[in-house]
Amino acid sequence: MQVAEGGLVGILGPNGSGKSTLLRVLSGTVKPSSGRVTLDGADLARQPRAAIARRMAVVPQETHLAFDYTALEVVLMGRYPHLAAFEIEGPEDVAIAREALSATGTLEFEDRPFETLSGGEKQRVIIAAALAQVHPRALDVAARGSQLAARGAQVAAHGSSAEPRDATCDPRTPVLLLDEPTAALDLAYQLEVASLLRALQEQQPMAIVISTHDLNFAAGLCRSLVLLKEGQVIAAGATEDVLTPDRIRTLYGVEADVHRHGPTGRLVIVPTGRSPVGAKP
Amino acid sequence: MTTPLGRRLVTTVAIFGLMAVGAIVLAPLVGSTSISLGRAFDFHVPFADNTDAQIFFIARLPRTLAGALVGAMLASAGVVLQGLLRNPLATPFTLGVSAGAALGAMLAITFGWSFAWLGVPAAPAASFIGSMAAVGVVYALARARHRGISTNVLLLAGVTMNAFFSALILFVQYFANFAETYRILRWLMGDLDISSYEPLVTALPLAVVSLAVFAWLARPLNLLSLGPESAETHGLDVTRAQRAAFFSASLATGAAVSVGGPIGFIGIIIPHLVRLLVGSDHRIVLPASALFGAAFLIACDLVARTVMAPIELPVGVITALIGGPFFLWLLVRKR
Repeated sequence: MQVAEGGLVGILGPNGSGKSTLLRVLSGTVKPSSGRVTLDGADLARQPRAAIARRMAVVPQETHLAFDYTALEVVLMGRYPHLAAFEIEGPEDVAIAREALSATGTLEFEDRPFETLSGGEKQRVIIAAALAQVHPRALDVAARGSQLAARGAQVAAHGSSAEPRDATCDPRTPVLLLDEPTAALDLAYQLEVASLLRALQEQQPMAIVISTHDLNFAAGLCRSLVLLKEGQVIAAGATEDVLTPDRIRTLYGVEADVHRHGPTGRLVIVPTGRSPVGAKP
Repeated sequence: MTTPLGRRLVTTVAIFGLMAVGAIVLAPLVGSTSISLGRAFDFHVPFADNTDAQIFFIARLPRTLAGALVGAMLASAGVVLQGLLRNPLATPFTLGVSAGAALGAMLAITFGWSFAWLGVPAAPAASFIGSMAAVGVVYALARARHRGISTNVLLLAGVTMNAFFSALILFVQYFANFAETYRILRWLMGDLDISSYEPLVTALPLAVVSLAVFAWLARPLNLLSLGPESAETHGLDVTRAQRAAFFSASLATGAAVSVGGPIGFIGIIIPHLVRLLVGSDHRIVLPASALFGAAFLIACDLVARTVMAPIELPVGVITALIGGPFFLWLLVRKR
């Protein structure tokens, strides 16, 4: 699989199919048992943790803090990979953090203790922390020059046999990995997170990978999908091509109608019942 | 908007630093014989003739400094263990780390070990090894449970470790003679009754190294609050940070226990109060806890040696009388 700048890839699959594991492999916290993951064409395993973190941020399903930090402090933690060992966040970092808070509509919470926020608010603050984390410092941007501006970023996972493609990339394009970011949220917050991600993509092209249980959430948000079952990719490609009743039956053992919703033009999946036992996938 | 961290740090250190320095200067003036600061520091009188100076510098200052060192070490080790295990109820005392350190120090004292290990004399070195062993067990438990250690597991582990080390301590006590037993008993209750600078000087290297590691650890501990996996995707080398925390908390506890015995509850009272006052950023919590811990233990020791004068209580009695109810209150308050 391959995710390029501006890409918004969804990972779908039943419980235990390996969605979270795939995200962990992509983020480099779990080493792949075979194959490899590349960021900008370079093997992830060979890059220092902080260098990866400056480009790629992960939003977990839920965040529980051991101690009470304010929302701003949580977002400032995103600046960690940009600072030297004993360096304190400077005005630039604070400005970046507040910008990220305002991009996710959470600036009003900056001084609120994180644990007092609702699930949806917490998730938006964590997304803000991710944005602050992948935001380069002005100095770094200047140093890298503009000749890279035209290139696109790319994160890719290669099977053991596949050769990595020759990928050129802009080292400024952020990569966001979201692991079932809406699983613990109610409908309003799910929509909120989806529209936030869409708006963020419009503001600044990023490479986004999102794992989810929710077919409609994925269909409405993602341009392409990867379907996982028992650790195997059973289909990958553009959302319209991949999300068919047949595949849904294979994936979940569920019969479903897939059609286009008039007003929004999005794919809508309506599960109609369990597939009969022994139905051919 | 919040005040920048740098300024908050300076203000906090100034305030808590003033408390610590004030305690160090004032505590030696109080006692069964009252002395005056002016006369103690009157260098026109020869030291041999100046009783005030003798009481101040020989009888009381070492004890006060011991209080400062032990209080600072135990409070900051508490902060680090809490950050490492992601649980605000973790402390050297409740986890059995102090008991491990006490066993080490007792072995060294009872059997009169006199080796030096990397320049550190036997008692603090053995004390450090004892605390390492105890922290090692707790750390292994925490590693085995991916999502951090729950309060139940933490408390049970602590109870078990304390019982285990107490049994060994009692066993070692059989080898001590009668006079020693009394001294050891007092020390095991947590006692700062020292009247020379020697134990301080021998514990100092451990203390300095652990403080240096703590300074580096402050920001990694913030990230670990997010959970180990998130800390890693934020760019932290989690294993290295955890090892550093494990090592430095053991060093600090070893240094503290080799001087004052297993004094309890400093590691939970202080960090908790400090967090209420200054928030959770470890870069502020750590120095503030060290300074506040120093001042607090000196104050407790002052109470211990004056409340029933001329009888001097072990300071561990005072901290336990304050800390026990405090700990229970925290347990009840925690959903």
